[in-house]
Amino acid sequence: MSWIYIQQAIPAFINGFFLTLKLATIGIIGALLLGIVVAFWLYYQVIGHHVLRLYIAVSRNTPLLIQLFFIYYGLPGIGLKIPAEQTAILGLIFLGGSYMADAFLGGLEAVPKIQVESGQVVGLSTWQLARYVIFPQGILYSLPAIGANIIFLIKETSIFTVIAIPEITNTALDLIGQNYRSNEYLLMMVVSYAIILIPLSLGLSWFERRLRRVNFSN
Amino acid sequence: MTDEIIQVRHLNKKFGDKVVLTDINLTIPKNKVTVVLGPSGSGKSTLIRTFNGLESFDSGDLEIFGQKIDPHDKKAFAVIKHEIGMVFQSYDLFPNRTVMQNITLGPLKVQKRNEKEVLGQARQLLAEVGLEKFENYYPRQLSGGQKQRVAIVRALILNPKLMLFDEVTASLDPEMVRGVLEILKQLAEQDLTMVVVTHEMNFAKQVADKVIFLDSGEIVEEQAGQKFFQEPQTKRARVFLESMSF
Amino acid sequence: MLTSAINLILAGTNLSRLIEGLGVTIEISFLSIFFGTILGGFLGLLWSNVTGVERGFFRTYLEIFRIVPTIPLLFLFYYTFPRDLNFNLPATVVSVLVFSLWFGAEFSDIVRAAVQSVAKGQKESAYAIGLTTWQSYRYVLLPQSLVNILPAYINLSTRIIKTTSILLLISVTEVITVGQQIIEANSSNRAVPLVVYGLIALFYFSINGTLTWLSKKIERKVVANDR
Ligand SMILES: Nc1ncnc2c1ncn2[C@@H]1O[C@H](COP(=O)(O)OP(=O)(O)OP(=O)(O)O)[C@@H](O)[C@H]1O
Ligand SMILES: [Mg+2]
Repeated sequence: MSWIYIQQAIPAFINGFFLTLKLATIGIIGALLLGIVVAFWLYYQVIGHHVLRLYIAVSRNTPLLIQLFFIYYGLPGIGLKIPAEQTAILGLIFLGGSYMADAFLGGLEAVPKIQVESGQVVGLSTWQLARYVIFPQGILYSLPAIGANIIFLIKETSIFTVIAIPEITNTALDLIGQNYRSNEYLLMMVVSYAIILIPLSLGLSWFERRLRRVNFSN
Repeated sequence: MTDEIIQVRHLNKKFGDKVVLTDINLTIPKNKVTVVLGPSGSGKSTLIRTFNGLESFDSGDLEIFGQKIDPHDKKAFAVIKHEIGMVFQSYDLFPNRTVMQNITLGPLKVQKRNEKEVLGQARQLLAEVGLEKFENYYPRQLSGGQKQRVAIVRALILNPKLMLFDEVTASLDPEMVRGVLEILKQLAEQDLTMVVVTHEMNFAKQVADKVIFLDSGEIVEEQAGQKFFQEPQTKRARVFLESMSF
Repeated sequence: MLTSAINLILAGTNLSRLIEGLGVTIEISFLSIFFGTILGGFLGLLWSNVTGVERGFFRTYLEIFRIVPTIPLLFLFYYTFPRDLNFNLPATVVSVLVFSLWFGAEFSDIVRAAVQSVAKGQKESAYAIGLTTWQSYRYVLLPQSLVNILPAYINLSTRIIKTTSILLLISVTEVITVGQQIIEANSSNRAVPLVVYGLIALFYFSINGTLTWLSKKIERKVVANDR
């Protein structure tokens, strides 16, 4: 282990760190939005929900790496060129959308039937029922799964290295290749991820506990 | 005709292959209390849930407020739904809303009434059930009996023409039952049409203007209240009453 | 272009090479699941019974494998450890080792949760009828937990199969590496990547899709049994 190598690599890792953070944030927000739409779509069995089931199956049962390769190297074959960073974000949304949809859907379906019925009995319209009863409760039930998905998706960003995006993993692998040293760079890589993931993981479980206490029991 | 709020003729219902209601014929008189009795699983809940569209039915006629209900029309109840209040057995308050927010959701969002007026009526109703101090509590901070009283207020504030009660005291601790039944008794004395499913026989005896006795999805007896308890006409009703009189 | 690309892939040994690569993917996945199951099952049973410091040890093991993405883990075992500790393992063995440890960590948590959830009420009634600890595991806790575990177990397996895709980064000739070789050899046809990666996606989809379908089926059974 040599301190010099670590020092020299700090700027590169800082860049990689913020790139990871940026791509993950955009991708996860996109995945959340896509997930909510898909989940409600499935919950209300709106026409076309079979297509969405197929999307979820494809998205969940193929590796992100192949999804990225397909977009980045495959699609140009039919004239669709998408730059690397956009590919990364698109891939993460495609992958995360299905995970988030399942998380939300699980939450919506966990809302007790009697809650929906008492909303109907009070006369709420479908939209009001969703807004005042099903959504606020469903989101609470889905929080643990959403939290786990966020962590999972952040870790998945390390796959972006395969389309040469200089995020954390790519930075480390590049430096390893250039300098034939692995200990320092792997350590820095792990630390970089830990800086994101450990506080996030702690924060999420704290947040979950708090919300649960406030809102769950009836 | 005018003093019947619901008319049911030859109504049948199945869940999948299971027949739950068979050839139901009945009327629910206006401004009276109709008590629905019967053993567990006899179809009481299913029956009164067809009255507000929570369950559809397969064949037969259902007429509410003089309006014929098409069982296959999902919107059939859209116009009259908020004129029919219902309170369930299990606690059904919205856990993410305070007592006041639970109560005012319907009048504000569905009936689009004036907020000040609604709050006033809500406070008055809460006071009538002895919960005036609890408007900012969340359901989890209330006892079971208090929750059911809020649920009753939440239904009443819509000024319904018809109230359905499905075993509202069945999941309460014994010491809570009384308070809730007292409120139902007070309501029974007002001009309000009530359909009450209950296992509380003493209470039923006191409030029933009319009794409908169900067994295995059939109406075995449809009878004036006092008469049913004093001289039941069928063997099944007698056996049932005896079994309940422990 | 697209049809000629498809013909290209179907011609010669391309398809059989891809399938051979898929075989490597499946082999590594299978071995990792096998060893990971033994490891995780063993640790999970231990874990469900310990408290204090030992419990902390299990948590740490689990969290390390949860927090660190798989790529750094793989490189740690592929580059760093062999050099520092002076041993040399073939890439396939390293892969199986890393994935087994990873699978074991995740699986031990599933086992622990399942045993503990069944244990609560059942343990006491098992004691009440005079079973020893071992007997209560053998006859009461394990059989019940196994069924409950199965969906999560299959789900974990599909995850590990997907994760084998990163083996492309070290010298394991699995299906994606083969795909890249084929693409390079046919670089004049611009539609080849689309077909190759589409086909590989289809491979993964068929395997994992079948497993997912299976776990959904079991899950429904479990729910029905609980009623
Ligand atoms: N959603 C449903 N799907 C299938 N069967 C149902 C459903 N709801 C009720 N049933 C069945 O229909 C029959 C009548 O049920 P219902 O709940 O109306 O009885 P009940 O008289 O209200 O009983 P209890 O006194 O226990 O509340 C029962 O055999 C029940 O199992
Ligand atoms: Mg009932």
